[in-house]
Amino acid sequence: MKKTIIITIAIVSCVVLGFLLYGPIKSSLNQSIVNENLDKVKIITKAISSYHTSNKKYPESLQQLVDEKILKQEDIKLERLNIYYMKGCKPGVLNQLTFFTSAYELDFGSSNNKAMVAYTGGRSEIIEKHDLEKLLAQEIQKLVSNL
Amino acid sequence: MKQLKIITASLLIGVFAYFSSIKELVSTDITYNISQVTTINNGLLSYYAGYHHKYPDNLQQLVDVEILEPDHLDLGRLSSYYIKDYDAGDGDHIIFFTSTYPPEEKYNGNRGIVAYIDGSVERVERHELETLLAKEIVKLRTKFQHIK
Repeated sequence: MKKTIIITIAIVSCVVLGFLLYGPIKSSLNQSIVNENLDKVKIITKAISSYHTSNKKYPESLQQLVDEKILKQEDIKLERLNIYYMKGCKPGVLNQLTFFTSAYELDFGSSNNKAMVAYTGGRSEIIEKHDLEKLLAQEIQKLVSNL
Repeated sequence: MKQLKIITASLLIGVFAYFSSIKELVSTDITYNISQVTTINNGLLSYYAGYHHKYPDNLQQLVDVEILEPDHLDLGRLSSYYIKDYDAGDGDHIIFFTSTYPPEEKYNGNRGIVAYIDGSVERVERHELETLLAKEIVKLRTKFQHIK
């Protein structure tokens, strides 16, 4: 009986400890991935800008930046994130949405709800996913209204 | 020892029941939302057909002209986005979509419902919704470039 109680207490303690440590460890791992991805987003945004400055047009795809040796292959691979590139339609116009990333995996913790957005002109920012959807809807509305 | 077993069994049953009921609730929620989005989309199509081939400026207008009831626009915990001004004969463009606003909702935080101008409605994962929207932008930008 005494042995059973000790074993039960030990198991419960391990489970509680596991729960307590799981959050901070996962969050710190996620944070380092987010920082690394954010650095890459900035590198890609600058590369798109410099391509535009030299060629007076936007690249067809991010792969083109790699093919022309402006970026390395690893620069356009963002860990656990989807990446979408949307070629700017009017060269020279600032603040058009040019690409965005968003977390694919459902278990990405708190950063699951974040997205990184980059604009022509070189600006980039981290936003909530529902704000990203709003931005995309506004961009579509802008284009539809101008067609 | 017997008491311990009873407590553990009750806890396990409690946890199982909790998660099952949440899944059931969420699944009912999604089915209801899809039928509501379909109703709104049908409302938009009726407006377009009855008002000189024009879309309303906003969804409230569908209520104002009595095509829809005010309840039809209440999408609960979902945020919705309406994109006006498409040409109805212009392919399968997205006219309306919803997604969950509190993104931390565990089960349906990653879902969206998309309505197209041809009247179809589909439920998609959130990352698919983002891809669809991005493709829509690329499609429109390409068209825009050809027109200019």
